[in-house]
Amino acid sequence: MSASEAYSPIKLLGEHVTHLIGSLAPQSVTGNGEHPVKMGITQVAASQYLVFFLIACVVAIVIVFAAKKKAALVPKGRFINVIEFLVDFIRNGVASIIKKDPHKYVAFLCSVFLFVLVNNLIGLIPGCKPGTGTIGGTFALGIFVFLYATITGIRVKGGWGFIKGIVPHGLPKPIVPIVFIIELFSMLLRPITHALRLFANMYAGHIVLGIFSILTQLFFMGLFNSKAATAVASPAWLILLIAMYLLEFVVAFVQAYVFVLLSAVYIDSSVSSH
Amino acid sequence: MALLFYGLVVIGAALGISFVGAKTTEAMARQPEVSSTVQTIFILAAAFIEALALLGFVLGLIK
Repeated sequence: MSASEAYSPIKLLGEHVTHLIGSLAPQSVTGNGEHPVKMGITQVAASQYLVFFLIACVVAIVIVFAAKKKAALVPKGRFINVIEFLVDFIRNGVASIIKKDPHKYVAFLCSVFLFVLVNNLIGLIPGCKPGTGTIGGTFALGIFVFLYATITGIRVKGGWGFIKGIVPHGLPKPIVPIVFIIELFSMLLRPITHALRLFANMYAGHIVLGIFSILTQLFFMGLFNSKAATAVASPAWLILLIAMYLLEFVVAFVQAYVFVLLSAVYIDSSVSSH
Repeated sequence: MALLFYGLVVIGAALGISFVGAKTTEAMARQPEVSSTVQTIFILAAAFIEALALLGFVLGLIK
């Protein structure tokens, strides 16, 4: 860029954003194109998301064991009280959606909530990526919840009872097959929409944070290019960036809540008779 | 062109979520004692509507 050319942050933005979105694509960390890790006939590669996924795994397990060690009839201390609050929140606010034996599923829902929440929060640390910000990760979680709901449904109601439970009670006989097909289709689509919702929220949130940081940086660069006009606007971008960061912090909690709420709804629809 | 269609998708989702939000506020104002139940249903409904807008977002990324 020549000195005579006007320094325009907005014009530079497009190039940076393309770079940012490219950096969000999964990249292999175990081997490159020349030295792939072979497993049978396929190549296996661990992307950078997998690393953060595993970190989240370890963090969640450490939290659970630390909480188990500190558990007491009368909880003392900040950490254990937060954990008690979360478990209580899942038990009363989420598991109560399930009409039949809700207490049986509290443990599963708590684990899913903790894991998704830790994943989302890790993505907020600058330089880290959310494990849930990739479609593979969330799809694994979605399939896991789907299998859990289906298997518990079959276990509770029996195979034939589960198939009958797909169609709501009290329908006239002729339209039962049509409703069965529609309900079956929507049931099979659930893991996909379940996974896409979490993925798209975290991915979009990550991109938005990235764009705001790029804009803040570009406007601050105006200071060094002796363009006072752009530098004056930079604090405003910084404040917006902090506001977006706080918003993403809330979104991390809300999306974990929505994910576990929908898991509870799916479990309910497969174990309770309606 | 993709951006234009995504804009159209967002209009639908925005109308849906705003309708749900307005009705939730109304229900809470009328019967504050059921507000916790209404809030759960609100978040569920918003999540279902939001999924449609996000589908548009993801399809735009795939191209």
